[in-house]
Amino acid sequence: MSKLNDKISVILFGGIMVFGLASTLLIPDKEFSEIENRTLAQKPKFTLENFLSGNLDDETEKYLSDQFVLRDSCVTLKSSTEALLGKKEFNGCYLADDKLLERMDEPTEQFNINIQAVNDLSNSLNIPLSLALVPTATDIYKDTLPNGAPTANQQKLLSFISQNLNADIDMINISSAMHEHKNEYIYYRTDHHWTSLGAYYGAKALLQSMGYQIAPLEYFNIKTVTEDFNGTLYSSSGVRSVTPDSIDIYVEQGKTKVESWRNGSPEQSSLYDFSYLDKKDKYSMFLGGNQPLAILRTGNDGGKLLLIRDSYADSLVPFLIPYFSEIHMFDARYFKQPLSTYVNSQNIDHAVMLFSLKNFLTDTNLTMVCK
Amino acid sequence: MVFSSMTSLFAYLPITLALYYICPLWLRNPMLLIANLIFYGWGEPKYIIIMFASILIDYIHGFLIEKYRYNDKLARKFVASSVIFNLALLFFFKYWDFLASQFGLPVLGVPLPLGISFYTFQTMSYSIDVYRGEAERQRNLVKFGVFVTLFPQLIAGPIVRYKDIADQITQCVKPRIKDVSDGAKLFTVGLCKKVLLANSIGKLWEVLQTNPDLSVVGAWLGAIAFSFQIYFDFAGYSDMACGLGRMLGFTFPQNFNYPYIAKSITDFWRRWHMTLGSWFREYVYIPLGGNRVNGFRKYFNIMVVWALTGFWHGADWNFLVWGIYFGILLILEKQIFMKFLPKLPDFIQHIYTLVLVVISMAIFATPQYFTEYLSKMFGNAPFFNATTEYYLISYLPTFIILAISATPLPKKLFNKLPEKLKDSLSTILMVCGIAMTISFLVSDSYNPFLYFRF
Repeated sequence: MSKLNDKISVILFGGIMVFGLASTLLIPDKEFSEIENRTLAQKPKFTLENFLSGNLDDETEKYLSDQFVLRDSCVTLKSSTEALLGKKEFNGCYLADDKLLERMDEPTEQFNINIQAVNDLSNSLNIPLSLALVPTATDIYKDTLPNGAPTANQQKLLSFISQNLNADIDMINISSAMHEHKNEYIYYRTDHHWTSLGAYYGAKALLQSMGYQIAPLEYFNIKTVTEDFNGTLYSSSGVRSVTPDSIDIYVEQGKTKVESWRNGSPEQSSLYDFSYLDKKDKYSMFLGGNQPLAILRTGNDGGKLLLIRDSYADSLVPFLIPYFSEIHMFDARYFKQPLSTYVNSQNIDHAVMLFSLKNFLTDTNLTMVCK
Repeated sequence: MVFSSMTSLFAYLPITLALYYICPLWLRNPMLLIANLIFYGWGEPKYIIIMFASILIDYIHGFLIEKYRYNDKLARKFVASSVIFNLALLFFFKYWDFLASQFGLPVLGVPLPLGISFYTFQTMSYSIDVYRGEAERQRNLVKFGVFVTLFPQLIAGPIVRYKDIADQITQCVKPRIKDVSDGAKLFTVGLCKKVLLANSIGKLWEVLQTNPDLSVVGAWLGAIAFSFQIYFDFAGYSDMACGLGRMLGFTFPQNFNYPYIAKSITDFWRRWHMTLGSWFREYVYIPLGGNRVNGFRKYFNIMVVWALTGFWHGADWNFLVWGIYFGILLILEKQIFMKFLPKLPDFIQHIYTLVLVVISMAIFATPQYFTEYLSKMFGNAPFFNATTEYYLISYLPTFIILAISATPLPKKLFNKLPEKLKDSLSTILMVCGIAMTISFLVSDSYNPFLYFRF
């Protein structure tokens, strides 16, 4: 073996490692990955205490892999390799019929805790409480999954929930509305959310349960705001072959005023923040993404609705505007106040919990606010 | 710390290696000792104290054994005391809780120090070899410390005996560029085995081992998956250790030699975890009399060695059963099977060996429920189901790649290439290998360390 070749090998070997270290240290850290829709690990604290507790090990590992410059390319390379090897699951996503379908894991104990939390909430409120759980696309398109592919049975989970809820809680059947329209474009192909059309059918079921009739589809003036949306599943799976999604809006801002509470004080905002259309996280265009509390003052007659939400609610809420004077969107993950206190202080007339079933299984914040 | 982590690849290794090459020769050993201790203490800093204790106590034993070399009775006592110290360390951390829980004594819940089974065996061999005159005592405490804590093989082998690297530690030779380059390539091969092969198939075992509706075929699939996982994981670590060792100027003994192409269980154990096998042969089997004793004693010796070998792998019943299983098979082969097995066609010999090995791995992999798992493999479950079909189909190409990688075929093909091409190709493959492993490590959180029970 020639000496030159050895030198080249050594330089390349060392070079890759030094590149990894130097690039991570020199390039400013990112706080949030829009592509993966999660906060990234930050520089660990090099304190003696942290070292002795053994946490430093874990934190360094997460930091280095989260902040690696080529992280996105890495995810793509891995999923392409796996696709080549005939794998059908990519980081928890199945690729089926030009759609990415997220695997749902069997629920843990948290599931029962959350059901109990909802029951506790209904006991402490003296207004009607509804629970609307949205199954994920994986349930709706179950028959397109590879044969035998493991994923939790969402129908079974939903019926378990409804059997264990207090009798005075109205469980809204979003699932059958979704199944009824499964041939329409109701879920994004590359993202875990429902489309605006899916949200329309969800809103229809929700309003119906409260005695309102939603306007027929023809009534809406539908505008496509982007046709180039690659969502969270696109990022986490690394699969790049799925057709990008388009995002539609059905309802215009009109006279609705939106008050966003992002940092403890109110700010004027709007139903749609179009600046997100230039970013990767385009779904956050609806209301500008997750926030602890948003209050919509619609200028219409009607009661006050409290929507205990996750991000599925952001695309649904425009459809509710004609029927309420105020809609309070409360996110239990970020806003820690007992809901009964909030309901009393704001004179709320009706409370609805609207979650993706997947979030409902795993959320760990409900107990804290459901009292 | 483990090699196949981002922390090691992007921080520990570049910094350690750079410092090592920059340091003047006389400073290399002290520098390496500090680097070793950081490597060891990274995950569990409190156990650095065990390292210090081991270094000091075994150093003193070496000193005393040599000093009283001409008073054999006394020297023997010091050897015994060294062995007792090391075994006590191992017993306390590794076996106390298991035995205590069996006999209703207080369970302490002390976490197992990483690699304790490996380094206690290495330091024991030091005292014994010094006593036997097979190795010279190391006079320099720092250099002795480097031997005890040498990071490449500290936590997952190979088990390096002092006499294997005594010269290299004492003389402190500058590694040649060729060693560094070859070492880097070997390290990369190991990294690929661990991250690309072992982790990929390990995921299948992870889902199958706890799958409530496992079929018979599924149970076998799981056991085969684990067999591949542990082999590529373990052999990968050994390659990484040997590669890094070479980069630092050490030559470690080979630990695996294509075990899955063995034609008998006897052959398998000549190819699997070779440094452990030779340790037990050298320090247990031969001192017991080996095969130079008669009748019953001969079988007794074999069974003792294999029960211990099994128990070394973990403090639980299944590991003991695993060792005894091999002990029985080896006796059977010696007495009966070997009379006709070699006359059968090769593929029957291979299948015979692989089936028995896969069964053994199923015992090895399922500490609390090995009887239950084995019963599923042998019919106590539906034969086949949709879940099994899904996993079989989506992992079939992976299995084929693993099977080929477990044979010498890729290496043979590579060696057929012209010399010039081999040079540049090996460099290109190395770069691709590192890029792939980094991609897999970055985008996946599944990266288990399998030897936490060892």
